[in-house]
Amino acid sequence: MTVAVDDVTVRYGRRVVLDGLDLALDTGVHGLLGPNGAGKTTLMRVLATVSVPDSGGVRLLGSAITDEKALRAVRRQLGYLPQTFGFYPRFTVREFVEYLAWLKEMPAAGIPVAVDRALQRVGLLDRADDRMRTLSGGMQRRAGIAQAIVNDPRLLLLDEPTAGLDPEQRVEFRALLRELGVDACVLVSTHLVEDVAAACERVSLVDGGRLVFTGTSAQLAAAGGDGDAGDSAIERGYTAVLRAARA
Amino acid sequence: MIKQIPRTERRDGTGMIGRILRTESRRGAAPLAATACAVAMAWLLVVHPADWLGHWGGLAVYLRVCMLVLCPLFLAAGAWQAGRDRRARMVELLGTVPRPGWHPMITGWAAVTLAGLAGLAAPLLVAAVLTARFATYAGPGWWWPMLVAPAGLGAASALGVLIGRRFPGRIIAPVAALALYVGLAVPAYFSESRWAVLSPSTDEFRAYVFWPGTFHAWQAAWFGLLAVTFLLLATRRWGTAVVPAALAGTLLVALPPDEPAEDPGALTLVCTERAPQVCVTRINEFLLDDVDAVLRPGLERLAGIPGTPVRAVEDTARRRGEYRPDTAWFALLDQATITGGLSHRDWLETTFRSSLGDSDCPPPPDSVGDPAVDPLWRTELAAYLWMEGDPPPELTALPVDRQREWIGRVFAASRACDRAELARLAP
Repeated sequence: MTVAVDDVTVRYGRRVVLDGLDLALDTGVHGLLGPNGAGKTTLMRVLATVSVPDSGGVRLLGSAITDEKALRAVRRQLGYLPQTFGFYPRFTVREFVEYLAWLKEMPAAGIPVAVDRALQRVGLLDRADDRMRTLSGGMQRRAGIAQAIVNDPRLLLLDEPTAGLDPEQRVEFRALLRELGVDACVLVSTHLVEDVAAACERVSLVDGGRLVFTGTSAQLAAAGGDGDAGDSAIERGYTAVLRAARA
Repeated sequence: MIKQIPRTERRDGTGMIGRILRTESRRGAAPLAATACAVAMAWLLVVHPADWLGHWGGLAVYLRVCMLVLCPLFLAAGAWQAGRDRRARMVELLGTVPRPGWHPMITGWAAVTLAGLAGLAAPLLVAAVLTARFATYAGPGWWWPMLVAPAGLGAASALGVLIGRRFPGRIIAPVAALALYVGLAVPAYFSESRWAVLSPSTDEFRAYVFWPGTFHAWQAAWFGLLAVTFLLLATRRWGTAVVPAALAGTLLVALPPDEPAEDPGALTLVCTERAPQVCVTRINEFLLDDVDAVLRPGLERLAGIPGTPVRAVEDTARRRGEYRPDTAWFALLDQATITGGLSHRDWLETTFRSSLGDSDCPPPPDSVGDPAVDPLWRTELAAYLWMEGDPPPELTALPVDRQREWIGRVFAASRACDRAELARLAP
């Protein structure tokens, strides 16, 4: 398994954000759904090695992160787009992605090519020499995706990657996700259920810090009925699963 | 399993480090640091040209004076650079990368420090060109004080990095800079203290005083160790930081062994060839013609009057307590203009006043210091004005020979501290 989360609990003060959560992910594109405050971002931060769980075990890329050496080895093969994506506004897009590639300890000789390839994949190669601050919100988000994929990560964590993207860009992004998912484990946390339906092979649904559903998009869609709220089958499945979990 | 990237591939070539450094130099706090330092240095050079113009040693030590302003600027640049990640909301993303945090931190520190030094270089280069036009003496190791500057400024920016990482708010850079300015200014009032040598900023150096290279090497080592300590503390390497801190502490115990000494080469007198002689020190030789033009009329007025100065000599070369009745002493330090001329001719014009008072007679107990009511003061004022070529009407009413006889008697009475005679000579 690329990601193996075993009975992980995370607390912020007295509030339990992840409550004995289990999750196993392998190569492919995985959607992570859940209402606000369900613990999606906290789970992403744990998988991104930003947060350390209070209890439970996490194995990433087959390795339990027990020391600094293992942590660095995992991080070299990790791509992460945080929900709140920050950037250096005076850097050009190319400089920004190049800087992150350096921080990811990519082989120096391969960085220029990898940067151009990442920018091409997110459709920003023609804006590569523009300052980050001059980009639109959607373009900045795409630059964030470019930095996440520049090192060809084996584990790619994208928190709300389509926020700010227009419909055309979202369609292109889904195609990119499918392409990335061939070789890597891609976990996409989003509120947009239709993105998950279109791009993700498997879906995990978190509520109240616990995993309440895991399966294919079709299985999630099938969980809903005509009486459930939602404009599409997968939305109805989403609300049905949540209702059942809270019952 | 984790795919291991071969160590040789992971290792950065200098090319990549260079690229990142260039990016930081263009996009980080470095351009602002360079501009601020260039403007500050240019301003400091322009407002006080007399402190450095024409003196290689003066230029070197003036840079040390300017550290009072430059160190806070470097500190602010370091703090601003270090607070960038927080301001840009990059902290979370940077928390997921494998490269140790001190790598980008050092790169950022190096970028702002080098940029700041580059900013200083341009105005200093112009100052060096101007100095080269006039300088008549360099002296041994005049450049040593300059070498301490990069170490001191690097330590200041490292302190800024430490502060910026601990307190990343926008206001912290200017506040910390102001605090450092005050912190550096205070020791200037205690220059006699042996601890004053620990400050990067000092106005205790003089262009004609030679501090041995070992002294400057000691100071550079002190600041270098401080810089390393600050950078290690910034990366929370508390244990490792103990080593440079302990070495710096050792330097504190072993304060510099060498004492400053006047540079005899700098103080060698250079005089006009024709009498009456006007002499300046070798470092001020470029001012000799201007000084001669100011002082010669006064010397020529006194020529032939017994007991009056027959030459004027720059008092930098004067030994403590030295008194010579044939010599008028004048001060010439810090008197050059940006074009290489004299900035205070009026100061020199009063040179002969001091020659009249060289016997250091204490003022009489009943002296009121008012020429209108005190005949002794009236005598001295009339003598001053006569020597400066503007005698009072009471003297111009006398024939020239009587005037010259009168001034000779004034000099004799002054030298003998004969107040009664001085009072009798009041015009």
